[in-house]
This record gives sequence, structure tokens and C-alpha cells, in this order.
Amino acid sequence: MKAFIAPVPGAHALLDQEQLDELIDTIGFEPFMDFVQSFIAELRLRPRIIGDHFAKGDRDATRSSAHYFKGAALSVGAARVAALTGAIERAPEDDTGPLIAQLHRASMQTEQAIHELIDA
Amino acid sequence: MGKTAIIVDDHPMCRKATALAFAAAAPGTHLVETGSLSDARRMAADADMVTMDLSLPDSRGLLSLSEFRDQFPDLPMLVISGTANPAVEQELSVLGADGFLSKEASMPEMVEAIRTVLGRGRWFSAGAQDAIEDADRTEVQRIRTLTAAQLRVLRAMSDGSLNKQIAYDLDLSEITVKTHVKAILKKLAVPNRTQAILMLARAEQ
Repeated sequence: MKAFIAPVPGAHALLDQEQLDELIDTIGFEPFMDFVQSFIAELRLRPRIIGDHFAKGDRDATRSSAHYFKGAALSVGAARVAALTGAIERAPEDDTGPLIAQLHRASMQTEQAIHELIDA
Repeated sequence: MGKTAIIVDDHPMCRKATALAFAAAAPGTHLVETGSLSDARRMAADADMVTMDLSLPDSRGLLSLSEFRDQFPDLPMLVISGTANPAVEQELSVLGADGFLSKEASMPEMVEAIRTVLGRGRWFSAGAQDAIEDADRTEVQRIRTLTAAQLRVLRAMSDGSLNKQIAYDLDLSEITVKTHVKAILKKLAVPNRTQAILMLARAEQ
């Protein structure tokens, strides 16, 4: 079994700018806006759900919710959230709590970065 | 008449991303979205392509995908998953998927993958393609050689039951259970029951 290596905080960009640019170029700005609004809703909701599962000691639900969130993050280029959710999927129990705390912070920062991108 | 594609993913955002890629790759394609494999099974006979997530609430991972492929052998199938590695891609190829795409793929790549698979081409990463060409029989294929009774015994083993308990639960004699276990180990080509249980777990990831 491979040893678990936690991601270094801040090692991943909040947003993958190249992926976002390609997304906007391919689908257009208006569809992108709709798409990204859905992700903002996820950023506000999903970390809390993952944290609730962890607090209840439900390891399977914690991993499953992290995987679910990771899919959305990958599709929109939210690199740091994707890295952290992937880490939560693989992490031993002792490492999971700190990773969830990082995920809360990264989700708030990602939302802020998206707003800055939209307003630019 | 236009083409129909089924997008199977339990996350609405991932379905939306795939739908946006379809709109660019094959405008006018009628898209049906669902979060469940059973829905996809119900609709697949009338479809021209399916995109499929590996982790669905009503799916047992690669094993379910293999069963789906057996049921619809000619339907172009692109697997889009957050779990990306060459071994998974290799397994998917052997099981008959026409392509694999990571959810972190760029939108242009997703568009091209859809266009390729819809046109009956194949879409795998270069690293996986090399391995695919050398692939032997996969673990999922070995599991699928088990009879229904053997599969029930293997599932009971994976729940942690010993032969005596399995015999009681499945209403079999202990000797019959032992015979099933021997056959399971032989068919899966593994030395012990732990390895058999781990193989089932990997197939159902």
C-alpha cells in the first residue's frame, strides 16, 4: 500500500487559469457563468457536508462526498479544491480532520477568486 | 433523425460539463442526462453514445460497467471519471469501453474525445494505450467467470464470514462451500481467500 502524502498547503493554484480560459473559449461566457454559479453553490455547501460525515465518524460517506465534490472541482479547474478532496479520499483518519479544515479555507478562497475573475 | 446520447453522472455539474462539450462536439445531439446506471440501462437501446462515470450510487464500479457493456456491446461508450490512472484505463479498454477521459481534462480535449468516440473511434491516453496492447485477461473478466453461486460465496467471504457461517447463511453444506472456495481461487488465479476478496474489492471500486 502506498504511503499517504498530504498535499502541501498552497501548493496548488486556486484556479487552473489555462483550463478556465479553454472552458470559456469553447462554451462561451454566458454558459460559463451559469456553470460557475453551480460550482459556487457547491463551494458553499459541500465542505460542510463532508465535515458533518467526518464528525459522525462515517468514513465511507466522507470519502464518497469528497469524491463527489472532486468531480465538480476538476470540471471547473478548481485545482486546490480538487487536490484537497482527492487527498481526503485517500487520507488515513488522523489526517482527514486537518484536510477538511484546509478544504473549508480553500473553498472560501476559491469563491473569492471566481468573483474576482468574473468582475475582471 | 439526430443522434441521441446518454450522459450518466451523479453530479449535475459534471453532467452539465459533458452536455456543454457535446454541444460543441456534435451540435443538435439529443442529450438525456441521468445520475443512475439503471436509468441508463433502460434508455441505452435507443442511444447512439453513452458517457459514463465510474462512481455511481447504483453501480459496483468496473464490474457494473462490464455488465452494461455485455448488455449493449455496440454502443459507443466514453468513461469520464475523477479516478485516473493507466491501470484503470487498461482495464476499461479490455472491458470494451471506447475511451476514457479524466474529469480534469480540458474542455477542448473533452470535445475531441466525444467527437472521436461518437464517430466510432477510440480515446485513451498514450501511456494507457501501450499497456492496453499488452493486456492479458483482467481481474474483472476473471471474476465474471464465476458462477452465480460462487459469486455469492465470494461476497460472503468479503463480508468476513468463515466457511461454516457462509454454509449456514447460504443454506449449503460446509463441504460445498469449501468446493466453491477452491473453484473461486482457481478461477481468479489467486493463492488465498484474502487475495480473492481484495480482487473483488478492486473490481467493485
